[in-house]
Amino acid sequence: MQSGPTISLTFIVSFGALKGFFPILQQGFFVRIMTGSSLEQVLTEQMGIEEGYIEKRISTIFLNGRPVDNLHGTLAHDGSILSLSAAMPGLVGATMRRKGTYASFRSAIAYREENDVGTRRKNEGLIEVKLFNLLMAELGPHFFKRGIYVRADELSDLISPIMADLRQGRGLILFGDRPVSADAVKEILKDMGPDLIQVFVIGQKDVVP
Amino acid sequence: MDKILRIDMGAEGGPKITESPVGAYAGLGGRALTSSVVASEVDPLCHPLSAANKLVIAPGLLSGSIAAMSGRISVGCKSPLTGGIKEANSGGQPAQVLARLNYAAIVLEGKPKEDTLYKVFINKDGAKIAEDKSLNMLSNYQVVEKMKGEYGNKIACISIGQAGEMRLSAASIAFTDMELRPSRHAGRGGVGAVMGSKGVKVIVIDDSGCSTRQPKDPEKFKAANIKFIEGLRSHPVTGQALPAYGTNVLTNIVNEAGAYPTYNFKQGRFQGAAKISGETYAELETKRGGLATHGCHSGCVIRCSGIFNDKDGHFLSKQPEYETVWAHGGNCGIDDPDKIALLDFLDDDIGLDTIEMGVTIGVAMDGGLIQFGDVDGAINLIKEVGKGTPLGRIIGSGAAVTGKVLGVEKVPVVKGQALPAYDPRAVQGIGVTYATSPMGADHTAGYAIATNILKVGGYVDPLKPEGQVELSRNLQIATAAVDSTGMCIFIAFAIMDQPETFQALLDMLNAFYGLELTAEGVAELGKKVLKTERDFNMHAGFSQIHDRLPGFFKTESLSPHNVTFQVKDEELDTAFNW
Repeated sequence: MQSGPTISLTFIVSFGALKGFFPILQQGFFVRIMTGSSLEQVLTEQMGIEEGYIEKRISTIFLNGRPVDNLHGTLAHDGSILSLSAAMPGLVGATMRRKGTYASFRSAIAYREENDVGTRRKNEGLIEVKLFNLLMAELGPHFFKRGIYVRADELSDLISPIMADLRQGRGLILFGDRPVSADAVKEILKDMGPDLIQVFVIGQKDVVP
Repeated sequence: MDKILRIDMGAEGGPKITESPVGAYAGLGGRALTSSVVASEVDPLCHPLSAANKLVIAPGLLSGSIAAMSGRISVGCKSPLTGGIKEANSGGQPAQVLARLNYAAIVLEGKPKEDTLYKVFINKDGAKIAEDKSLNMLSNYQVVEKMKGEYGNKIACISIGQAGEMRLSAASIAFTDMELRPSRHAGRGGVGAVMGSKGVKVIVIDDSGCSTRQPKDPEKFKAANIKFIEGLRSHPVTGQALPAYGTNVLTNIVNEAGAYPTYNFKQGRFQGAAKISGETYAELETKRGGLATHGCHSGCVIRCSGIFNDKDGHFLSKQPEYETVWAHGGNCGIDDPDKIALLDFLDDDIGLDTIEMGVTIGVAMDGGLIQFGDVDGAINLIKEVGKGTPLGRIIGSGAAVTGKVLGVEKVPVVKGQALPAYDPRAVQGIGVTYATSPMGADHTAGYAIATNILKVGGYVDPLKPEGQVELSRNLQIATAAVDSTGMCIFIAFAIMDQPETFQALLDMLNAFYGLELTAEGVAELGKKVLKTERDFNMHAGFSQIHDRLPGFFKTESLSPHNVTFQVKDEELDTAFNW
């Protein structure tokens, strides 16, 4: 990630248009966290997701592509990839569930923490987060409101299908705190290339009384 | 459902239709019925395309009633693809219609003396068969259109496309959906080739004038059905994930796990997965005026199917299943959702198993016939099958044959049948099922059925690697049991997590037939079915050496986790010790 001041884009759009940003969620975005924390701490304390929701809804979790069974005993590191999914169909869907009945089927790839959870030093870092299926609609707005980081060149591709709507004035775009046009956004993202940009997406009902 | 319709296609003077009571097969449905008939009446050593083979089509035990999810239909025979016993099943309307006509099964036997085609029409007055040469080399969609012209819109059809007529080993049998499209298929094992060998192009069924099947105890049945539906609707998989995204919701997570076979099983991850995920398809379907949530038969409450339109809003195919999207997509390096939907349509139209075709094209790509990612080349290969060119006939004969013809070493098949969409190096337990199932490599042979609720086998610690063979065995038994009820397999998730939903299923069966079936009784049925199938295969020449994955799974590691298949042969040999 680049050093220096954070560059941000804020999209204020209708609730219906929010879905147009969901491809970012399944492709992956970045979030700042205190690394060396357990996944349990990252999800609850740092990302603000309720414990009950995690237990009931986020039944499938991968860290670096490995299914995780123990959130308390697994650490997030700088550069980790954390993927979250609701319960999935199929034998393999059931197999990937946390502590699921058929978890032994994928024991060859299960995540095993090699560090001591209690003694790990904490530093600020970035992890990549992916949200799949039902969690896109349920957690996506939460992350969009808090702000996420996305590679500028990837963002340009991911939001291109909704830019036509934004060009026609359906929504407002802020670059920092300054309104900008959809065409200007395209240029900004092009100039930034692979650098990360902070992105907020806010539903109009959240800003219009 | 107290009678069996038999058509002797080789009778003197032309095909002869008889109806007989179910007799020794009473109380059986779906896979239990098809496998019992095949095991009892077919010589295991016969040629699958000979007069000695039989094609059995059987609805489930509760088909034709108001029971939710009861529209599954099984097809059984000796498989031309594997050489062993085969049960392939499908959704669609025919299960409900056939059951309301009171047929427990249709059995096609013998073989016509001349190379011609027949159509069968069944309604409340009985069955008729007629020669119809005009059906020659019509595709599934064409033949159904023709039947609509002849018999009207209130019918259901069971048909084969050109692949079945050519008796190709990857040929499927199509079953029409609620829109009378031949979009649901008994895909695996070349069952369409057996129907083709019998000379039957289409079976048209019309249940006009027939009523819904009535249970022995209507009140108990109704109450159990309501409870069963509540269980399905309240579960996050059957009530939310499957309706919202269909089975293709698996693409993202299987890919994330590094278990998504890519470029003919060379890698466990596909760069373009998000472009063809269930989430992406659902978004496209909604945007283009299709449907992301749709049932494939009446009485379906999960509605995991959908309708996929092209960019101009015209029907292109039904929502492609996960296995199809994987086989034609990631496995071949293709990430274009529209082209994958077109491949799905072509498979349905020509009458081909989408898994077998995707894997075959992956093998062909590995053999240099076309390049990985060449989507137009893939489409042309499927079209070659429909035309019946020499190359098309090779492709339509499946991955094992194509691999031999092209001199490819890495051919992912077990007992001649292509592996489905989960790499057994990453998910080793499913590799045990692929290797040992009597059906050949089949992801649904050991499904996520509640072994604990069915009380099959002992406890296996989910967090330890040991016990995968035992768990696979238990799952295969439990799956054979549920397949034998003829219920849609997707009920598995709700009955796995919610014992009360499984009890509701048992209560429905008991109330319908006046039985006192228990979980243990269901499990015993599963064991009996598996034993029957294993015995048939043994007499057909199968032994332990056929219960193996191809060698490369043991020697070539799979990225990104760099794993190989570790389950030893001696362990695989214990899979059916019970």
